[in-house]
Amino acid sequence: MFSIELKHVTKKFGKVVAVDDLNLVIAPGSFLTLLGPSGCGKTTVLRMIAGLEEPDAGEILIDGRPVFSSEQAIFVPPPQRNLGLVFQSYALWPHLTVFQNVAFGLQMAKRPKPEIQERVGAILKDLQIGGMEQRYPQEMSGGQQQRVALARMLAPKPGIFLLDEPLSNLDARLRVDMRSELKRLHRDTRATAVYVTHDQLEALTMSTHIAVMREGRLQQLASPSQVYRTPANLFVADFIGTPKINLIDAEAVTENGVVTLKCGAFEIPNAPTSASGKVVVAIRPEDIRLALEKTPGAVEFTTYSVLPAGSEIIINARRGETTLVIKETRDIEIEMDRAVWLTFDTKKINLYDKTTGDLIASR
Amino acid sequence: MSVVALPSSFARPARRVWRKLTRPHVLVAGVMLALLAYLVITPLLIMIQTTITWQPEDNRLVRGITPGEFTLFHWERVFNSIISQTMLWTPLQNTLVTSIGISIFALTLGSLLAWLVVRTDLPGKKFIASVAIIPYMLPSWTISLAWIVVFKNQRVGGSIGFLEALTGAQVPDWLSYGPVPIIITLSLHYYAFAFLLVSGALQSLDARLEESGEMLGATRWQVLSRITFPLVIPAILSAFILTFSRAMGSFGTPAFLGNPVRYYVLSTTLYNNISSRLQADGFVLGLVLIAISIVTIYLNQRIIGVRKSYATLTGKGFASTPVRLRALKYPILILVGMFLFIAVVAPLGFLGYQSLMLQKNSFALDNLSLHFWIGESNPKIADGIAGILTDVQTWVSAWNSIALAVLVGLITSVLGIFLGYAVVKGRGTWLSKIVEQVAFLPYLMPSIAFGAIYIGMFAQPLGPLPALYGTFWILVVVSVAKNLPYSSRSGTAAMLQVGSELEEAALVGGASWLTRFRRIIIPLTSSGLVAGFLLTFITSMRELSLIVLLVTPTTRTLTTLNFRYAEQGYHQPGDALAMMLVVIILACEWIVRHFRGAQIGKGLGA
Repeated sequence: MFSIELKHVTKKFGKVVAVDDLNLVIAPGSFLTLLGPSGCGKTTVLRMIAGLEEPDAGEILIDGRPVFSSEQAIFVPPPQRNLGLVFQSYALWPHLTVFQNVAFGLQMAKRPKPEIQERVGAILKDLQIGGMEQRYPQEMSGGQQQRVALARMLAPKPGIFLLDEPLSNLDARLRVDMRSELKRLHRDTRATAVYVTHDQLEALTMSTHIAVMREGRLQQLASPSQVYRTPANLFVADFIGTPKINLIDAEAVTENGVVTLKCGAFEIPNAPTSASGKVVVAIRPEDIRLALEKTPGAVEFTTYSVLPAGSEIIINARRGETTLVIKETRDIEIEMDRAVWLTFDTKKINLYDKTTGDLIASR
Repeated sequence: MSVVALPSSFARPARRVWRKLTRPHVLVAGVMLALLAYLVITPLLIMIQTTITWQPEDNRLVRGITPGEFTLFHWERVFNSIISQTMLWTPLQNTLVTSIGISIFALTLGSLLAWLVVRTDLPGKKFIASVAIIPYMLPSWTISLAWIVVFKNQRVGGSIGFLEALTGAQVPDWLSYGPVPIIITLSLHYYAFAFLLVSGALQSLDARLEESGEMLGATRWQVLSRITFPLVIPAILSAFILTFSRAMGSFGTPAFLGNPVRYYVLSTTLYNNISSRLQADGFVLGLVLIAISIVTIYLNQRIIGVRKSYATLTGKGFASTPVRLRALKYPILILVGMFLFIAVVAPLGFLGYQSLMLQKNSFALDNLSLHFWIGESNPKIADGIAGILTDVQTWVSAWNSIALAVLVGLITSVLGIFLGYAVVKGRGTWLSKIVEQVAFLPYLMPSIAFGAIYIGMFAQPLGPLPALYGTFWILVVVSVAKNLPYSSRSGTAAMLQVGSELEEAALVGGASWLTRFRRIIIPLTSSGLVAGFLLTFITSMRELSLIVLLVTPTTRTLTTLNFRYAEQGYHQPGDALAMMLVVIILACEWIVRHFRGAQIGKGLGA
């Protein structure tokens, strides 16, 4: 179990700042996901931890020991960092068999042959691709190739797993299966894992910690539920969750010590905040209560589209200029173009500053 | 602040820089750049320097000069003197006329054939494609030799050609020698080059683009003219420019078909100048050729630079429904068959036939003999020239040719991998860009001019190399240098396919650079390596223009020996040699392709 620490790490490619003054502490044994849209610098962070990229400034420590430091001019090459890496493309060597691929790291470490044989066989068996030692990667399915890539990473027993979008090349169904296997694998090996993805569902389901990044800067580092429940800013709020969170421009007005959120077409009274002025109201689609009959305190909307998805129904509803997304888990029939009544639970609302985008009041 | 702090604070950036400089790809790029400077830039500079200084041989023309001093004499002489017309302007005009003519014909033939083979339901497409590229593998002047066999008239030398012997009517001069036969014969060679380029573009064209047009109601013809053609225009334009630049530098054909009637182009004038020891003037012509070439390639970049970025052209091949030729199918097949017969079979047939003729001017069957193949030297026949297979000169030349081709093939394909590594791993850095650009430079220099440069360069020892002039090794060095653009391209392509992650995976796994190169990079690029080898092997085997100025009697190759025979008017042994060369090239091509297929089919699978 190793900790990883990044201090003021900056990396530029030409004039583009890929990673900007990043500070990150990854506790031993945790599963940290670097999450963000493409081009946010998450893969660069992973490659800098691996030692494939050299930062321009800052310090990287693994297990408390600096592996990179611009101050002390330290750079420890990748093989001496005790880590394993799975590439997005898997990067399996097409001219080597599965056995040769997986054994490579052990051969480089000059392990005795019988040990290599045994270890490779055991890992392949664990990953349910036992007996395929003599195949070439391209003779296997995408899912099997993925397992070979995992096996190659696991073989030398690294203390840190680095995974760069390992599931993005699998079909949707296999991806879901592999999530639970990867989580199990992390649990069983007790290694520290750093996982890069742009798929927020992967991040939410697998990680112990999520680091959301945007344009080279860290936006929020928290547990999955915290990131989901109380996003640190509008970017995180907008990026996490499907269907997307509802973001409504509003004016916070205080009358008689009570704050009312004036959302244009409707109002939310009794907001638990002292804010005033222009704010953004954020509410998750599942946190809006929907009624088919007129309800006291509810606002009338008209359904614009109704999209049943088996276990849930996604409803787009309109009132004036405002369109809201609602997730309904009850098994009910709702027609398009009908009136519905929506209630907003003020305990489930987050408020953001309109200009800075930062969280000002949370539930 | 202590004084001691200074070195350590100084050491930090220094260590960082040192680490950057010692990265494998930077080291490789540095070594490659040094090599390129030595093989490409130095000779060019020496060439320029020669043209602007007095040469010892200028004593013949001007009194009281000091060799080595600066002068514009050579440039004036070539551009602005009484001999400029014969020395520069007429050959320049002839060069432009023939090269443009060749490019137009070769492009038309090649593109048509490419479209028929790639996009229609013409029967026997595979066979047609494999026969159609044969001219590309042969020396460009083989067809011109065959032309002489058929169309020669009495104007030069006593004997007559097959046509005149058959009909009794005199073949007009314009059909025997000069621009018309030069354009025809070189078109029949270069169409194969255009065919390769255009069919490549057609194959990578996404058929769905055409199908979308059809779905919207366009006829086959409208699809062809409004979708297919505009999409392959960049490929056609660049094929045109490349053909033009090659045709301009070709030497054998204009020498065989132009010299007898004093029809000179720049390449033959350059050769004549250097043969008559007017090296500096020849070099000026060489620089003119290089300048024209640079301008055309630049225009190529300018005109199609933007269009090249059609993303659809970079994809893989797509299966598409072939265009049905319907009633035209068999008439077209017959036309294609006739064309291939004229371009491929007939020339070889005539060469073969003439090589068997004992007397130059009798095509009768009773004149046939194997004398010029296996006969002993006989003073009564052709001044005592022996049959090529009994002549030790042939075997020396054949050995030289094969040794040259194998060495050049090996050296360039290995260099190609290193160049590719330096270019691809350093992508985006200025070092990588410079390596790529400089490696491309020899491409701009017409072969004959490039060969000329090396005369000056290796007349004395230069750097680590001794005076190579007159040795076999100068042929190797010049051929390696001239082929650098191809090897660096194929190396880069091979390296791009490997993908950096495959190497990084080995790096994370703990492999040193040498291990990575040996176990990952070399095996993965070997298919590119073999392909690159084959290309340079064939190119070197058939090369004449590049080395014709550099060979000596002991370092003769089959091509230059052939050229000597032709120059002296000994047709039959020349033809026999050409046939021998053709057989060797085709056999080697077959062997390598066979070996390669057997090797790579397995491990790399798809």
